[in-house]
Amino acid sequence: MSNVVTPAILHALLKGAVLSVELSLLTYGLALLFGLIAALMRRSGTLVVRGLARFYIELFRGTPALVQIFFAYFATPQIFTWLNRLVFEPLSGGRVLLPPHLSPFAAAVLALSLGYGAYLAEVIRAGIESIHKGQAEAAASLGLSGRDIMRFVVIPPAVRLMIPPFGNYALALLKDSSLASTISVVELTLSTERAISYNYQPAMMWAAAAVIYLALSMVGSFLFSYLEVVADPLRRRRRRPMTRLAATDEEVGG
Amino acid sequence: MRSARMKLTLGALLALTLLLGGTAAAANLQTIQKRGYMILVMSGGYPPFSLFNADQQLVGYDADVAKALAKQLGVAARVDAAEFATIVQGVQSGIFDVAVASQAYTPQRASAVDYLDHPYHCGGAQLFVPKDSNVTDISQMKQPVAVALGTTYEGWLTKNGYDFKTYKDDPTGIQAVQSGIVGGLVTDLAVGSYAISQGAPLKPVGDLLYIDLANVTVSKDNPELKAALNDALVKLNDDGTLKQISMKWFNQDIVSRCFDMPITTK
Repeated sequence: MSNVVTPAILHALLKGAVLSVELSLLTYGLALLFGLIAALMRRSGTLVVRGLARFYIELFRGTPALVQIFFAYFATPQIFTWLNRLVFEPLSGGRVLLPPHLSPFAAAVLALSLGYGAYLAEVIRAGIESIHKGQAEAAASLGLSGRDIMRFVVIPPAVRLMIPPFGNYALALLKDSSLASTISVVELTLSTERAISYNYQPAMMWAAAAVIYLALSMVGSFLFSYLEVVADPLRRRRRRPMTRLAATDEEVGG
Repeated sequence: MRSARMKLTLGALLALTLLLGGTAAAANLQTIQKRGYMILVMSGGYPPFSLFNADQQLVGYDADVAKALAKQLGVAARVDAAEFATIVQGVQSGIFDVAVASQAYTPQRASAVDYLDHPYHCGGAQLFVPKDSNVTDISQMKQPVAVALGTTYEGWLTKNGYDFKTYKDDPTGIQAVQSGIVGGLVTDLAVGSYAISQGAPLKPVGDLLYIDLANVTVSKDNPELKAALNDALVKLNDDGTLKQISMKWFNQDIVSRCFDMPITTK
């Protein structure tokens, strides 16, 4: 029983936790980007653009994250082979552009960011559409340009509404990053499994993993609570009474 | 409108399925030699055949044999771990060049990947139960037994009508035994014995359920790679390397007595 909690096991868990955080942050950044693009496309005037965004959102919201991860890892080699042979090699004069397959980490990031991008797209769209049309019309009648209407009238309160669901999805993503363990990304869950196969202490090790996930998600939770305050001029003013920004927002009516 | 869209979606899915019906190009011998290293896969959850040591390095009998095979082919070895049930598709799709993952022969697997001509070790299926259990034979089991998903042990339990639960590998199955979810575990005798030597609170009971041979597999339609690996494996057996690796991990020879048996031996 000398190998219950060795420095090596603690080190492995910490390394796993770091990888979980890296995976989640990178994925969330990409998901925000995909979500923003898809949300803007969904508001496009062109039917085809709208349809593409709708297709993307439905496809990724309607399939399990685990299936997406397996697809990204096990099915992309065939798709890459096919794309190389039929598209990239003829276009680039015989050069093979796509790798034979994705690394487990890349496959997990790709699958999870596309999946979460679909959810975030709907959060962003809902945020924008929740701002009453009258506000934009009022701004237009005061002579603001279309760009300024978005910048000063629609986006600030819309973003404020988006922050709580953004926080929800960030925490959900942190936990879903454990799915990457199935394709051998050695994040926190897989490090824990491997440690158990070494020290045979499932109860203690799974409790430790849960505590680490909980600590990480609490950090995320506090961060998003703080963002809520920052994005709200009234609450922000209570903290820093004399800021110029708060006054500006109030003039605009935020 | 709705049904038109449905038709479009179904059509797209069908097209996708047809598109993916082909096979990915697995790396052939030249590609591997040009790349300079060979990617060999094992489960990492089958100690002492493949396991992660305290430094999180993939080691074990399978890992050593994998490195020896790559050396024979004059390339470096990169040993990767993947869940056992995903190894065949990983080799099929060319993510891995070779599986040195203690795979027994099944006709289904043989239709998806190619087996080398010789096994590289042999053992037997054994029932393990908690140390304090009164069970002395698999027929007395009142609870289901744990077994690793996609293994021939699972196939044998199904065929013989025993109640079982599948887990992704043996260490996870042992967790289930420890927590009382299952009454025992069926795996290779050497694997269970090693777990016991490392502190798993189990004991083997009853005779071997059956004997099985473990094999190396490669993707189909890769004759040169397969031939080169066949030569390499025979050389490793003839010069005593396999026996030496076996002595290192098991203190006994688990290769010589079965190396020349047909791989379909049951």
